[in-house]
Amino acid sequence: MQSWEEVIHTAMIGTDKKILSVTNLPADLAAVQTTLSDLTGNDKEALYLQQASLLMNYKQCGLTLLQKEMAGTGIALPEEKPYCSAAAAQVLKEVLNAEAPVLLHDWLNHCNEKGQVFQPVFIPALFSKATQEKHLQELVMHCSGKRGEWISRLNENWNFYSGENPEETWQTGTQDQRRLVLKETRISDPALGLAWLQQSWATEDAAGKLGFLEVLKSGLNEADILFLESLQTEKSKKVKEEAINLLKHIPGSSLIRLYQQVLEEAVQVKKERSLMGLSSKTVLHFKLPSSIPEAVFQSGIEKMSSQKNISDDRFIIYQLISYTPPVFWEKHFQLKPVEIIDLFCKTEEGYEHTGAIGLAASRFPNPEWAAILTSDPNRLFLDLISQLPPDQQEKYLLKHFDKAGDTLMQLVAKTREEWSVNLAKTIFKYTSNKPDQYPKSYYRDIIHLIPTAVAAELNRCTPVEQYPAMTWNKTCEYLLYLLDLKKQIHQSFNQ
Amino acid sequence: MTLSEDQILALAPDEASKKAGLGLANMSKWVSKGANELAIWGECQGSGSKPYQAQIDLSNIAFKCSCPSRKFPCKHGIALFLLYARQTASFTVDKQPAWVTEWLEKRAEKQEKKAAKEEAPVDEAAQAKRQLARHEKVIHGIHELQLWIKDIVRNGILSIPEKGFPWFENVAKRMVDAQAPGLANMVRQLGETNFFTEDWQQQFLEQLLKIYIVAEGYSKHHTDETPFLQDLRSWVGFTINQDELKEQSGITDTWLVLAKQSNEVDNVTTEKYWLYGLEQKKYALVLQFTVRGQGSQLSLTPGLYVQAELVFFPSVNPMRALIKRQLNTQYTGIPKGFSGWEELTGAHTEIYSRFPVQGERPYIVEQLTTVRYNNQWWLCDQSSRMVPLRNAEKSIWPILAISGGQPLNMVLIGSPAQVEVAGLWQENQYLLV
Repeated sequence: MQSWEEVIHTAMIGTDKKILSVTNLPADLAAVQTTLSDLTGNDKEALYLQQASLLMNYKQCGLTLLQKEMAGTGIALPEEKPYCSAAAAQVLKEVLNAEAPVLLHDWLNHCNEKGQVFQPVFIPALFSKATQEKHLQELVMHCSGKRGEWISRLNENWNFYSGENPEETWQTGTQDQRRLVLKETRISDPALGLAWLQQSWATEDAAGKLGFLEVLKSGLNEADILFLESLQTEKSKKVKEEAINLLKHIPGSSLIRLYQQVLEEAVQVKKERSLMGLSSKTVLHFKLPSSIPEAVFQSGIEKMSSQKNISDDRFIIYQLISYTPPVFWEKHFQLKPVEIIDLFCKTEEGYEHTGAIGLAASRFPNPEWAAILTSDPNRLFLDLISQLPPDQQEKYLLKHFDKAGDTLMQLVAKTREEWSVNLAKTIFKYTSNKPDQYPKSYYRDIIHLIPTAVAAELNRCTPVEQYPAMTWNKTCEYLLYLLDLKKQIHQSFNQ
Repeated sequence: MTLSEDQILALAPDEASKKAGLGLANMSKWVSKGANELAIWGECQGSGSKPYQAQIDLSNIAFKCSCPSRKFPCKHGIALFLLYARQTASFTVDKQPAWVTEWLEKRAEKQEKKAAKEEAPVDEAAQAKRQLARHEKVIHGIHELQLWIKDIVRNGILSIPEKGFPWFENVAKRMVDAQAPGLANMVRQLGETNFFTEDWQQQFLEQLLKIYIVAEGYSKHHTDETPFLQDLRSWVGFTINQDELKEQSGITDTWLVLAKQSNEVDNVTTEKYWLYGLEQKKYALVLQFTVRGQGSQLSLTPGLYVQAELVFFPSVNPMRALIKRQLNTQYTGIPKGFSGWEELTGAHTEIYSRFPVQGERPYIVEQLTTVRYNNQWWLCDQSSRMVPLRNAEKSIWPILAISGGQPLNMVLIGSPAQVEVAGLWQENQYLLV
């Protein structure tokens, strides 16, 4: 309305400098205008205020709305999967209120496994959570159904859908989407993932290349060697280092073979005479060859030891052993793993190198070697525990808990399987004494590992001292609340 | 009575109480619990030696708990109600304990006493003298306000954004001194204009003109005994004796509680309950003011229907009302609203033609969809007319998630120039946004 524009314009400049023109007034108001002039006399401001008030009400009484044929947001497709039960939806509400991401992950996992979707009313809350906690994205995506897929196209922050066609996502998606689809493809078809990466490699920037190499760890195999070795000409130092790091995890890579060549010469079996020369024993001799190819050190093997009591040569051998698959020693010595470990343990230096063999057994998983190495009661091989059979894992943990509680706490928090009641009790007896180190939030973040059956045993883990005992009582209340929610999740999906 | 979990949580005084209530809505926390058609009760084991006794009057939702919390309702009340909504079957239906009976009886007694309470004789001469003195004060304040407004339009509003908060606050305080708190609030709102938006001049001018209309209207028409004057008096800040108002007969209807809005300023919480009468097709606004720590008289739950008699404050467009009598009802369903924006703007024109200054109003509008246009979200009716959505960043995603792009009946608050969505119906279920 032009006359209203005129009202605003006059207000901006002020009636001292501009008088509101009445020529543009709507015809309906022309008659009233004369009355207003009569009423206000020479008071310019009063006249303006009356005219403006009149026009404002004229405008708001005759409001004309925008009318436009718009494409709109479209309509979400009907769901193909069933909605979760009302009970499960109720638990989801409580889980969201509890602000326990691990329980939310647990709920989504159950929902996904049952092939169900959550009710649309949860979409805003869950999509917002998934933008903050990326590990939830895939599950949220699967459990939000067609409605979620539709709404994600309207909100760029929620657009973490990889689309129908993985290859299309790889070619046109965001970096996060591409990394996700590459990771999935590397698990299902490592060769295809490698082929995609090779095709687009030249067009990626350094940060992108680094991100994709990190993803390449999934499904790493000998077919990747040529590509990774070709990256030594890359400009980015970080990209080169990451490529080398990956090559160090592939047994057939030229780098690992180079390490093995050095070790073949450096670690030899020798017979030593003893008891005045009447008997002899077989021992290992460790001596680096006089010349070591520079490529060994270029690959990240340190030349100098940082500890005074460990010589440089011993340190180099230790590093090389740690990157050599344990099966190498079986070929090298033509002995069984248990005999090889015995051989290493005969000398002080050899025993020390069994630690490096432990590292190697975690880099190149080998359950047989893991079982032999973890039978050493004086050493703790944290990284090998996952290769042990489940019952052995727990025994191993319980055996070492008193000596290395804090170290083992880090490990048990990373396990995938739910703890047994026995293990949980051992852990709580340890953590309940350290309330500052293990506050309530600690239990919230590992609640997926805590068995619900331990609820009845929590009081038996109460510390003797007063302060930790008081804190533990409060922690127990919280733990019981979380365990109850966990139980409800399970029950609601198994009714 | 069956309330949804959201409806129960809407009764909580703050977020912390909601959370605590949810935490306590757990069977293991309750030593005993029972219910009948009048009340729900339960004993919750707290940190004390004796469990806390929580109870809820169902006939006219009210809470009581023996815990020392100053919040109302406390977490135990919220938790008990939640637990009842989730697991009604687990509540015993035995005879209610003595402590529940005692409380219900006291409540009934109080109601009766209140009803029977006789007004103290009013000294009419003194009252008239007081009213005249106030009127003179208000007129004096209005004259000052008119001069201030004229100064603004004489000098132009371009330099207004530089004036800052105190410039407006001084005038607002002057209006408080002149016993015109309504005008004081309007001046404060003027100072709260968002000067960083492109059209701040329009927003500022519209609010300035509203103040002018009220001030000018009251100074010219204060002798007219018409509903029109009542609107002016209300905007100036005169209050109406609610006890007198309650003596008048009201409108009895089944009212749907459309929405509850609350805000807290200086420890005083203002709750706005928007209602819609199914038979009379009338909208109503019931206000409740509570000082922090004090219990509130009224607990209406959005989405719930109440059978009640409402007395409206005198106005040419009656909207504000108080509840004279309230009963619960089991009614459910979707009320009929405006068929589209054209019908709504028609009704709106009538309202503005009767009185040019209006606050926000609720509307039920049928079959609305959401549309993105000009970097803004709009609500579009079946004839492709569109109204911009206010606070869209907060509400658009729940609306889209629930609707899936399909048209839905919605409850809106605002004006046809801009609205926000308070709730919507999905498959006969009313959901708050």
